[in-house]
Amino acid sequence: MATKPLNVLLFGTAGVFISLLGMILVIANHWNSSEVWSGLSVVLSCVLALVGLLGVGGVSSGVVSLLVAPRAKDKTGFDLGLSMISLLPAILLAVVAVVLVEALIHAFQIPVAQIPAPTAVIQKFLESRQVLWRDTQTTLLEAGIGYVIGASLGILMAILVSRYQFLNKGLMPYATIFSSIPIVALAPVIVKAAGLEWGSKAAVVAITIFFPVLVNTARGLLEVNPLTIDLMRSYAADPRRVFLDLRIPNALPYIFNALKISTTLALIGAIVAEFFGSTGSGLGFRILVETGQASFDSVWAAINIASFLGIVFYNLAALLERRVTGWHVSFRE
Amino acid sequence: MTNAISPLVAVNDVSMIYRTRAPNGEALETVALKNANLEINQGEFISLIGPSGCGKTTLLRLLADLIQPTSGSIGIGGKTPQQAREARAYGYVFQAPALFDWRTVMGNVMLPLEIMGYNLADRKARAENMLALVGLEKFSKNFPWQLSGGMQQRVSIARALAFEPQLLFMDEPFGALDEITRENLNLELLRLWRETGKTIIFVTHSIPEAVFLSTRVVVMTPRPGKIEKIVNVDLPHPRDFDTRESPRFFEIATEIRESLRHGHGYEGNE
Repeated sequence: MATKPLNVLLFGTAGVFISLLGMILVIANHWNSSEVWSGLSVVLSCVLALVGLLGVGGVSSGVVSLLVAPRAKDKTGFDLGLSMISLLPAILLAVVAVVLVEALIHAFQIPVAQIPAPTAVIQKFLESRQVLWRDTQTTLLEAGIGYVIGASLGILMAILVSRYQFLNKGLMPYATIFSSIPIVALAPVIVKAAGLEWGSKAAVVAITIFFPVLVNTARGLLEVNPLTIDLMRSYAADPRRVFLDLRIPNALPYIFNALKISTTLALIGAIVAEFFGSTGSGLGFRILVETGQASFDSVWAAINIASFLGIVFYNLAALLERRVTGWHVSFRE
Repeated sequence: MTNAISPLVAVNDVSMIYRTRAPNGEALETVALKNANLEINQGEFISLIGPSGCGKTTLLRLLADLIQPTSGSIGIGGKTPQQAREARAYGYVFQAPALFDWRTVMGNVMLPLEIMGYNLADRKARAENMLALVGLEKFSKNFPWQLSGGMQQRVSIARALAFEPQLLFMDEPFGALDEITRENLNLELLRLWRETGKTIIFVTHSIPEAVFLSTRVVVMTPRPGKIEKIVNVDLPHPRDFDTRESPRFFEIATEIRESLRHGHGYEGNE
C-alpha cells in the first residue's frame, strides 16, 4: 500500500466528478427520447460508469484509510464499528453500481426482455416470493442432502483408502482423475436414469462432490509427518490411536478445504441438474422456464437467490472450519 | 557412575545395510552401520558424534526399534528393542519437535500418557510437573506455533519425559537452534539428567556439545558407518559455563576432533 490515502482521495474525487458530469449529460440527452440505442453514447456512458465506479472506490477507501488507519493502530481486539467502516468502500461501490445500472437501463429504455432494471428484479422478487421460496426449498433440499451424502461417502471411502494399501493403489489414480473432470456433465444422464424427483438432483450433487472430498481427505490422512509416525511407534500406540490422534486431526484442514469447495459444487450441481428435468420447482427449473418466456426479472431474482445461498452455504462451512481447526496455519495472525 | 553388573544397553556386532535400486536399475547397498559394538550403563550420558552418514541416527533408531538391524543383536535392560518399545521403556526426542499442531502445549505433553492409559488427574499432574521441569509451565495453554523453536523442543523433551522412562534417546534435539539457545538448553538438560538419574543417549554433530554433556562420547565415522573410538569425558559434575573454558575440556575436544579426522582419512581412497 504505497499510495498515500490523500492521493487516492484526490484522484477518486476527480473520477467521480468527471463521470457524474458526463453521465448527467448522456442521461439527460437520452431521457425519454425515442432513440433506444446509440453506439457512441453507450460506449461513452460505459466508460464514464467505469471511471465513476473507480472514483467512488477511490474516494471511499481514501476516506476510510484516513479515518481508520490512525484508530486501528492502537486497537488490538475486534471492533465492530471499525470493521463496518472498512467495509464501507465495498458497500458504497455496490450501491453506486446498482444505481448506475438502473439509470442507464432507464436512459436507454432497455426492455425487460433484455436486461431488467434492479428495481424490476426487486419488485418481481416481492411479487413471486412464495413461488421463489418453494424453489429455494427444493434446491436447498437437493443440494443439502446430496452434499451430506457425497461428503460422508467421500470421507468414509478415504478412511478405507488410508487403511488398505490396495485401495490406495487401485482406486486413487481414478479418483484423482474423476475429481478433475466436470462430472456435472453427467447430470442429464443421471436425471434421465433416476427420475424427475429431487432425489436425482441430490444424486448428481453427491457424485459431483464425492471425488474432491475423497481425494482431499485421503491426502490428509496419508500425508502425515513421518516423525510423528515414529513418535507414535515409540509409544507402542495401536493403529486405532494413530488413526484418531494423528491421522484424523492431520486430515481436518484438508477435509474442510474440500467441504468448502463442495458448497459451490453442490449448488452448481443442483441447479444444472434441474435444467434437465424436475417436478416443477427449484431455482434451476425457474431460471430455465422464465428464460424461455423472456421474463428476465424472474430469472435474475432466482439467480440472486442462488448467489445468496452460495455465499451462505460457503460461509457456514468456513465458520465450521474455523471452529474445528482454529489451530491451523491459515488462521494464525 | 556406578559399575553395574550388566549394562543397560548392549549392542553386539550390529550392522545395518539399506538395499535400494539406482535409477539405472542397479542394486545398491548402503552400509549405514558396520559391526557396531557398544555397552551403556545405567545413568550414563552417552553422545554419538560424527559427520552425516556415519550411522549415528541409524544406531539410535535401531535401539528404539524404529528400524531392525540386518545382523547382530541389541539388548535393552535384558529385552529386545521391540519388547522394550512395547514396554514403553524409553522416550525419544526427534530432530524436529514433531508436536501436534492441534494440541496445546499441555495436550502435547499429555499425549503419551493418554495412549498409555493414565487417568486424567494423573495425566494433568505429570504434564504440569514436566512442563515445570523444562520451565514452560506458563505456556501450557498455548499452541505450539505460538512458541519459539527452542521452546517447542523443550515441550518435546517434556513430552518424552512425561511417562518417566528410565532411558532417553535424543536425536540432534538442538541441531536447528541458535548457539545461545543451544548452550542454555544444554545446561538445562544436564540439570535434568542429574535430577532424574536417567540414562541418555544423545546424537549430535557438535563436538563442544558432546563434550559438555556426556560421560562418554562415541565417535563415529562414515562410509561405512562405524564406531571409531569411545572417548571418556572425565570432567567433574556439576558442569557449568566455566567447564567449557577449562583446559581439560579442550584436550577432550581435541582428542575427539582428531579421531574424527582419522576416520575421514581413507574417505578419498574409496
